[in-house]
Amino acid sequence: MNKVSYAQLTARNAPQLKGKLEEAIVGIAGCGGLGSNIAIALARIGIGKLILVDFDVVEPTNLNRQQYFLSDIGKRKVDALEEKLRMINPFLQIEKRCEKLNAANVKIIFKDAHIIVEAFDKVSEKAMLVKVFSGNVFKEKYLVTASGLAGFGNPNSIKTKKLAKNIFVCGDNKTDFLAEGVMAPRVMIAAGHQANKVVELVNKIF
Amino acid sequence: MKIFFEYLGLLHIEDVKNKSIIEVTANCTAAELMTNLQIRKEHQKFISVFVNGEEKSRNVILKENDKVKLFLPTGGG
Repeated sequence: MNKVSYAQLTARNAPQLKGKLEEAIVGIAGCGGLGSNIAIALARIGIGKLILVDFDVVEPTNLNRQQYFLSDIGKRKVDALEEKLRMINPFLQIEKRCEKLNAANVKIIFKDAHIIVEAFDKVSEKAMLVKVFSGNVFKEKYLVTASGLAGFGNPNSIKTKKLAKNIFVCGDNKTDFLAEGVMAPRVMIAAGHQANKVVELVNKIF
Repeated sequence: MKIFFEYLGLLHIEDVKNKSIIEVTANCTAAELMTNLQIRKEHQKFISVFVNGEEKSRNVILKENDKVKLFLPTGGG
């Protein structure tokens, strides 16, 4: 493998981010369509550390939107994603957790994260993570959640909005996967919004 | 009393315009507001409540001129 420096990897980044991205710790709650795309985007720009959490394995039905290959089928998502991230950015620190997040363990697993990205499928899990932020435990952290990325059409309906001082939501807030399905194009747009908000927050925090 | 009311996500509330000023009873909680708006119980448990830019529990007592936001995320990821 060719040897590269961190400076080379990040040479085309926005100049004002120099010295900031490598300090950031970002938690990725779910390594599916949103989470795998967000993790790859953040690895490419030189984020310091990712905490990857997902209890699932790669299945054939994931490949229409998630950043996995045929050869990944049957692997734990956190392992398959780690392989790809290491091929992109050898300087990235990765912590993997192959477990289901709940209101109790999320506070432990993400205790060191500056920013947490919600990348779950289910409404109940999304709601759980948002509600964790209602207490004092995470008042110094930021949450970037997603709502509405299903189906196809109108990419410009996907927006980033501020829900609270430290909580942002990306999506069209309308489309639901049970009725409309989920596919790479709109999932990647929403993931791009989430990754971009993470960068904005990193620029603000550090 | 009057509050500024907004809802996001899967919520669709009949006869209440989004981002509008609505009248609620004094000392009304967010939970009571949801019930009064006839939001289904199975939705209520997944709704996050934001008051004046801060997330609050559903038992928060609303005050005059509060900016109240209810968020029910849609699925998919």
